[in-house]
Amino acid sequence: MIPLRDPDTVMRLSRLGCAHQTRLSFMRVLLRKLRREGWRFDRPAWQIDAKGVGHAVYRARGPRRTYCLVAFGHDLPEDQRTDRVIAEAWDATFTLVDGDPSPDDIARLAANVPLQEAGRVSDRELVLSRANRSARLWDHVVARLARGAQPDPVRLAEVGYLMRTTAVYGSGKFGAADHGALSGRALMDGPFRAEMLTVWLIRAFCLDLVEHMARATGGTDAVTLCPDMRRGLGIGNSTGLGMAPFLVNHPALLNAWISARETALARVRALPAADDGTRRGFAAALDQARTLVAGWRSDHPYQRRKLALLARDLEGLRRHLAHGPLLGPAPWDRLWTWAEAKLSPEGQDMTLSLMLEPHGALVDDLAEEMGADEAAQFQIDGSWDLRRLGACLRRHYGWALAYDYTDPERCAQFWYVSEAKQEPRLGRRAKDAGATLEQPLDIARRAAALAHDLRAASDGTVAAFLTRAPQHRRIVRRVQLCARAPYAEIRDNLIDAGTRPIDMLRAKLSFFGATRFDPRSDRWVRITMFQHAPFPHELHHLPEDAWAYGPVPLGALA
Amino acid sequence: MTAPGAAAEVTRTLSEIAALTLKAVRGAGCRWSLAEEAAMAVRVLEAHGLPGVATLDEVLRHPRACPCTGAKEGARCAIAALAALGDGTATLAPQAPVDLPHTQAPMMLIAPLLLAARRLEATFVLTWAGSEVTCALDGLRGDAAPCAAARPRVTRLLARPTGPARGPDTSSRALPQGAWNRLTRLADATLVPETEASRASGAGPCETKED
Repeated sequence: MIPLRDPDTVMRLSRLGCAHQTRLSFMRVLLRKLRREGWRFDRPAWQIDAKGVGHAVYRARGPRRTYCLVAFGHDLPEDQRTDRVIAEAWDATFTLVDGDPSPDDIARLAANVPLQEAGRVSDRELVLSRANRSARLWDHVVARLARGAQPDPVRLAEVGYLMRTTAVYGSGKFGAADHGALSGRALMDGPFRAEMLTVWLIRAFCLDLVEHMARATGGTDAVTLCPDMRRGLGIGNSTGLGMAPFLVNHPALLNAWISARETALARVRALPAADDGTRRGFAAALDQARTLVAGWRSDHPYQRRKLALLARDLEGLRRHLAHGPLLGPAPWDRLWTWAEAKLSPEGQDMTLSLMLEPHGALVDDLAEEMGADEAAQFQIDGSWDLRRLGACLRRHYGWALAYDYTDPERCAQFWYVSEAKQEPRLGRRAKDAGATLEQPLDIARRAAALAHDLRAASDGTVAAFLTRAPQHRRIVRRVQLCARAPYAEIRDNLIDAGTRPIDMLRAKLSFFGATRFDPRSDRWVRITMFQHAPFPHELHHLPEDAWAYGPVPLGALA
Repeated sequence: MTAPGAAAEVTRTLSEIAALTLKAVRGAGCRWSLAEEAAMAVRVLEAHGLPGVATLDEVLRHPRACPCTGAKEGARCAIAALAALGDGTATLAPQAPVDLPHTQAPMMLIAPLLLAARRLEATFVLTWAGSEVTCALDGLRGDAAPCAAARPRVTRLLARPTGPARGPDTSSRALPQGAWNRLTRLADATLVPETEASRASGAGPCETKED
């Protein structure tokens, strides 16, 4: 039995900001389920003109449910194309519908989906999204295909996508079905499944659209993208601060995600031996990961440093593997111990991902435990005595009690919601207005305030204490949650001068299955989703789950 | 289409209801800690077919003895009361009725009892001013009439109730437009107006041509 790793190590923000996708990432879980459950796909509507304007429907039919992506193409003037959340028009807009949309549904959606936040969908819709074309790539690909040539593979590899989503809204936003409505439902009973299905079908639409526009331009001279180039294009995503508070506001869910990953690691480390198949699987995944990292570009100094370390670590791991560390007893535990001693956090997290790769049969079931019933975790147990609360606080929030909050650097930032778009923002306390309207993401400071007041409190119950000091309810709830969910909290001060929101974004996006993290500042990041994944028409013909680290190996296509 | 003379309605999801009520209660001057309690309570009430949004709107419009503002006038704040009741559900002795203080909008107290019924697999009966509801693992039984304030009584039962219960319904629901608008105005008080400086430094994605 291998114990799970210490949350004081795992949950540091800088460590979470090194996370990579794994077998348990939601994109991979989704495609495995679609394949194993025998889902079928078609495109019952394609009413798109030569400019890319119109609508299309992509349908996924499973054993008990049907879901349809309704896509609307628009003719967006170049000067209106922006990733900012304040945008009001996009190249394409989307919704995922529960069941088959009727003509009346299409008309209703056509009047609302292109408006995005300014429109309204019904609870027959599960997700609302939009995307913009890549100015670097779209026209190039259309032009090349139109004249019968393939696009420049170097340019394709540099960008990695033809369209970039700027928002993927689910969970009851703008009228779409509430998250609770998906509980127990075919395919959707897991975190972000509806959102991931939407993005995967958007990718199919993008590739169909670029080939359609090439045909409209080039006529009979036009060709389609060759399948391997096609598969090499994912969906880009541009993510800013709007996503950052999610992990703080959903602690039970965060615990479920991290617990599943840590349990998977512990299961693999506990194996007494490595058979030939798993050794070869690990080595193959390592080779693919090295190729992936070699092609991973970022101009941001923070990411460039991390990429350099990662490349160095993977080369070190390759050399170490040549010495046969997987041939003896407890091979995976010994490999992990070596990685902890020799590799950077980036390299350690990639090693974790690679160790899970050949062990699907051992760990894939954990994907079903990555949801959380947050309402069931909500209530405070007022019967605890204050000594127990204090002990739990010191055990799980010792990291927070170590800071000196009278030092302005420890409270230099504050989270707020902007009036303009009701989106989370980060302000500088010493310079910016709005600190009186601070959002309660100052978890560390609140833990320290609770510790202070507990020192002054006499004996008694939590219930009596909270009647006198209701301001502590939020942190008391989290402390009690940590007693049974130790990975529920990011163990860093989120208002510190040194806090980097992109680390929060990367932690979440890695669980989605994103790759090619490319920060554009310390508070927004570009990623690629579903790059190298099979398209709907080939899901059942390509090897299962063989795409996450790069192109499907040639041997597997034979 | 609203019938002549009928109150206007707006349709919202449970997520939208919880998100708005969290901000509205904070905007009304309550602590985040109690705003969270109110948001969960309104979501639970609405999910079980009770007028949570309208009731919260009434709560916030009337004077109350409030631990956040320090006001002493009026009945005990419904939000503070539901939080305290939730904290104590695990220690309620079976078959021993507990009389609660004079409390605003006792319907709000149904929410922590429904949450506790699920968490503890227990059954609770809440009564006030002619209303009686039973909160059990499978949902809600009985009728709850709106009431400005009352002295509620709660009892933990040993026996499991029988007969049909109202379980949670996650579909969108029609809400009174006036209450929704008032809560929206309160929620707006939590937002920070943008300035040139915040636009430059506080935001997420910025413009770029290299896309």
